[in-house]
Amino acid sequence: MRPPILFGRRLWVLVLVLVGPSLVGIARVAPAQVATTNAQRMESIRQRMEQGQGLYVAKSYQAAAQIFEDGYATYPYSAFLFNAGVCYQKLATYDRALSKFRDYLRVDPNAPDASRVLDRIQVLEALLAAARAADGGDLDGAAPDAGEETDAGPADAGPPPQIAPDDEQAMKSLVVVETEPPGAPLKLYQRTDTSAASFVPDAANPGWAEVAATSAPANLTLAVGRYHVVVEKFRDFNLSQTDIDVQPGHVHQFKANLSQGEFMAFLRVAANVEGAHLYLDDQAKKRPEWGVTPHGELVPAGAHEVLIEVPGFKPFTTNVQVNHGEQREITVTLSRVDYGIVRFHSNTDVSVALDGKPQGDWRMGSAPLEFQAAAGPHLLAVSSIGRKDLEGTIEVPPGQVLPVHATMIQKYPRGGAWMEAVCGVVLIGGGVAAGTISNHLHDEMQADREAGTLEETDSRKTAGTWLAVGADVAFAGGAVLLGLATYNFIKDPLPPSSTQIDKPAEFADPLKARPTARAPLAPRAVPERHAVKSPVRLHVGGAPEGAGIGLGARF
Amino acid sequence: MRFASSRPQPYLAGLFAALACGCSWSRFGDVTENTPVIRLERPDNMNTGFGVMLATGSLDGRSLLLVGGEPGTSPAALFDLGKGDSPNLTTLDSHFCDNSQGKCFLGSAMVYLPHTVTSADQDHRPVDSCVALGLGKPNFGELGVLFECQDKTAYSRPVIAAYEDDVDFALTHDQNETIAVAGDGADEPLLVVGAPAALTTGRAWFYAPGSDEPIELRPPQKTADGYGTRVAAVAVGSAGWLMAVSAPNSGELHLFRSDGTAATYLGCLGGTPGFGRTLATGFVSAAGSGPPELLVADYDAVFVLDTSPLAELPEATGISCTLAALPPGTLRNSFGCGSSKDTGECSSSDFGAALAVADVDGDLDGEVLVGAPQMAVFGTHGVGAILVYDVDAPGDGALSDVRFVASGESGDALGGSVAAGSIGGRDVIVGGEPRSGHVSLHYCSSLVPPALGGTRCE
Repeated sequence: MRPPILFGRRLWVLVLVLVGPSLVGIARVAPAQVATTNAQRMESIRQRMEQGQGLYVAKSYQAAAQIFEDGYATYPYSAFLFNAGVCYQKLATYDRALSKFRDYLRVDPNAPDASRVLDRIQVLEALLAAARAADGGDLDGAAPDAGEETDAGPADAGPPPQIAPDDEQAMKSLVVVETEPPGAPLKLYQRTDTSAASFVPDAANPGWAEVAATSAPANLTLAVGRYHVVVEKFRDFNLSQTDIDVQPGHVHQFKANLSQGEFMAFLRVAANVEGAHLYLDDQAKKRPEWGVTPHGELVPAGAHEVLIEVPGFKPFTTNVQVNHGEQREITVTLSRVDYGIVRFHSNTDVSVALDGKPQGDWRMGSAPLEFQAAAGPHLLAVSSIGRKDLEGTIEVPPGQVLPVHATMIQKYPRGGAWMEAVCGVVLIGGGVAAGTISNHLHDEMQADREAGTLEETDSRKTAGTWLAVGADVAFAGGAVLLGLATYNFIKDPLPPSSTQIDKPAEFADPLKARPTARAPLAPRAVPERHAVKSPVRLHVGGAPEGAGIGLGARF
Repeated sequence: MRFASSRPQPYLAGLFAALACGCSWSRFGDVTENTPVIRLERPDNMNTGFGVMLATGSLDGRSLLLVGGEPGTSPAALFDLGKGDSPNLTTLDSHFCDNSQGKCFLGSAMVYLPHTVTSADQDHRPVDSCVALGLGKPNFGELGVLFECQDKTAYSRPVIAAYEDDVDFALTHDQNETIAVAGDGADEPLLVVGAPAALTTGRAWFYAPGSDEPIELRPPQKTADGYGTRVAAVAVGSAGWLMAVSAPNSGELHLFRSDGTAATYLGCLGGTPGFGRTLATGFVSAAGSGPPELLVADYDAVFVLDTSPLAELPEATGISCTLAALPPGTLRNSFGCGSSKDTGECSSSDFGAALAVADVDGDLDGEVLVGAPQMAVFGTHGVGAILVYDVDAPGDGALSDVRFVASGESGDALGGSVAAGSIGGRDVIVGGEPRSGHVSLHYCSSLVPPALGGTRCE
């Protein structure tokens, strides 16, 4: 068995890199801002780790490897290197896998699993050598770097050890252990025998093996399994301890409040809406928001009330009970409000009505006209002087802004058509009048003829004839004019007025436009305790809501 | 997503409805084809008074109409009414009394002579279509009652000697002197002439058939002014002729009897205003066996007198103008103005301005045509109408029909003169509208039986 690799120089460098900025920040900015920055940083690391883990489980090894590599480039934690190496190994890109594992040991030479990583390197080197032999040494990128420092030993040290194939549990996690005050010595034990009894300080503890001894804060790359953290006596503080169940591809954060002799709980809130505002124990929202989803942070153990708000969604409140050292992750599903906002503008001055109710006038150059409407279909009517009316149905989305742009087209000039229609009607009317008079004259003449008093050159003959001709001409002319008028009324070369409805947008969030400084959480009224020994009660439980996992510990 | 506004809908229903209301103008041609009333065309040379007087006659079965203009100043025209429903609307001759054959003063009443023997012809051969027009002096003859024929023959008959100087003065000085001429209806008629004599005392005389000798009709005493304004003659069989000469200004109608050689004064009828303003003769009675009746109008009524008892009156030596002296049964009918639903204003219609007898219904006895030139038609005053009275039996006086021109206008004064033209076995009513210069032929009447109506009365 290889001797455990204890704290090395590089780890200290890493710790300084990680903790240094935080310490400097603590000295320069308000503690609340530092806490927020750390929380956001840890949340970013957590998201990348979980994203890579998800891709790995989905066998998208290349994408997962890229996520881990990017993660390491941003946050140089060795867990990213190891996980990327596993992904490359899965892809049979052994040279790159070897490179990652070697980087892993170089960055974290005292890693608890350094010996197993060396075994993996030997296996990979053997596989690479065999492949080169089979392919004539022309394996793409397979040759390890000549000057690469490895601890693999001589090449002829015998057959390479056998390593178990990587499964979904192969991803390593980042475990951050902090203390308040910082600097307390701590030791980390791994349960090597699943049937081993619970860890007892200062006992033999068979089935448990020490994998790390360092001081807080510590960032450890750990494989899946159960661990036990022991914070040694420090100054006037007593020993604190807790169990840790490490999940694959996660980020676990633990913080021990040595004055209380307890680890703080970690609460993470996720929602189906990113950026939702979180208020912790602040229903009245008198303090700045706690964070925005997803957000996780160490919180005092106990009951908490979480208010989640985001414009366009119904406020959501939930009560969460977290215990000391517990990692609680909740996911809530926010439902949208049952109304939406129509954001309207046009290419000209218009009057807008929705379902027959006026909503206002919009003028050129002014801000878009916004009005609230119940979610669902609505009849939108837009009118503008001299332009074609517009009427149609819009579907107002719940909790979103529906941008509507109306293009109002000018009415096609109908003056000529009206003139033709008026002239046509006048002609028809004149024709009717002339025809009526003509008919009357004819009837009179017919009656006179029957009475024997009609004379051949009766002037009514001429009048009636011309009236009849005039009536027919008027009918014909009126018909032509009305036909032309009808055609010119129907004729419309211009397109109808129309609307362009863009993709619904989210409600504007006024909180995003202002600083989000957050006051520190109010300290919990917990009696100060120092170096109080307490029996460890370790329990593992799922999060009450959502997909988070929880690990609780009480000292 | 896009949606568009709706467009205006066409409305063609009104258009098609209007087109469906088209009017036919040809129906006016249909309704005015073979109209029941036609108007004769006025000759260009008759500018004034066309239709003031009318006279009819027949020649070779054709009905001829003589239309006179303003007495003394206008010529007369002859029209051929034909035999059927299609008269010749243009004149046959419009140069009667146009001074082309000699000096001529058109009289107030004319007589058409279908065949006559003129004094101008030494061989005494009869001449067709001559008209006794009025006073005048032919180019080749003496002054007197002027006759002009369609063959341009003109001759005259001498007036009575006491009247010659007046006629000479009038002709010499171009002073209008109007006479009235009437005949007894025979082809070679007895002609009676009345000269109201604007310059001196009125006179009257007659010419026996075939004679150029004037025989004066002179009452035993001086007559009232206007004597001779209207004259009439009726052949009364063996008794000779009964002649009537009126002085309507005084309401006097003087009666004479003659055997063709001399005249006997029979007395004077009258007593009512305007009595004798118009005279006519004709067969009004259904009996038809006696002589024609004498029709006399005053300002209110028309009287139908039996001429037989009048002709047998004894000679009178004095003048007493009254209707009370009429022999029993002489006054067969008398009637006043009547109106229909289309006419009115009888009291001011100038009822009786013209008289004629016409067999409108073709029953061989005549109906009395009475002109009422101021009668209102369709509410328009002065259009004028011709009232038809079928007075078959004694006592009949009901209005039978009213003829007018439906398109007449105020001032036409239809009925200023009336006549009857025999066509197709019945008489067509001829009415003068002298104020508007029209003469209208009325082919139809409610009295005309369908068999005689022809196409114009269908």
